[in-house]
Amino acid sequence: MTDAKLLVCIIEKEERLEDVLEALLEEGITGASILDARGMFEYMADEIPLFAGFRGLIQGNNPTNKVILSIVPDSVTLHHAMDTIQSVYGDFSLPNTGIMFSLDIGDTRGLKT
Amino acid sequence: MKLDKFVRKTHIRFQFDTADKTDFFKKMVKDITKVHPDFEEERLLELFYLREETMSTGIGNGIAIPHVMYEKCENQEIFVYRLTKPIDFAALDKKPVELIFAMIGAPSPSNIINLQILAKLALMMKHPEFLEKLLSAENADAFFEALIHYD
Repeated sequence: MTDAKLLVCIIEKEERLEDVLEALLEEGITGASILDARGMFEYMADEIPLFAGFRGLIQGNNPTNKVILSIVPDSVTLHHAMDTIQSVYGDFSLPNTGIMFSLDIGDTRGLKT
Repeated sequence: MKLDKFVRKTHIRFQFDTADKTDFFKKMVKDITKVHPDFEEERLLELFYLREETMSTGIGNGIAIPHVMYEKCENQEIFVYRLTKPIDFAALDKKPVELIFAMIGAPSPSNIINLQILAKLALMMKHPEFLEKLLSAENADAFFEALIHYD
């Protein structure tokens, strides 16, 4: 087990991605992977005909979300990064914003320091 | 989730006669409003039609699960119609429909129970043995027993 943590940040407001990445850079985090993702409800409403009627009930207009994965060296950096992201992105506890969490990392290969 | 909270034996219509999809919905809402006199027939029909316009609720294998959220509905209810003669329902697999589960749900912000019921029905109908059991039931009682004892 290393001290490194995996920061997972899923944002529904895609237009704020730039702000979030700038916040990571500000904390000295220069590596992250950015993935396109769809929420389960959006996927079901769009792709499973039985649930098509629920499309209109989905709040927000973004069909896709962004998932940002970044390995940060330690918990201090992680907390700074999460605080900075929240300060630029907004309160994640509000509906249709997203979620941010971290995971401990076991063994790694290829981690650049 | 068990369906016995949402479907009653008295809500099963065995050998339901209908000519086509439009006729079915008209007869169905008439049937539902007999059970719930406070429900508005026209409004319910409009809601079911609107849902079908989005995409047919005929999920395939002779099954349809039309569903609406209706403001006067306080709890989720399922009405079951075992048709005497299969009808065209514009189903996804284009096969005629012979078994219809009509769900009326209470509107809620998350729709979690409505979604759970639909998902449960959809999953149940994917089991050929269970479906065969339902379709071969000889009366409403046998049908109901088979339906609520699904695991």
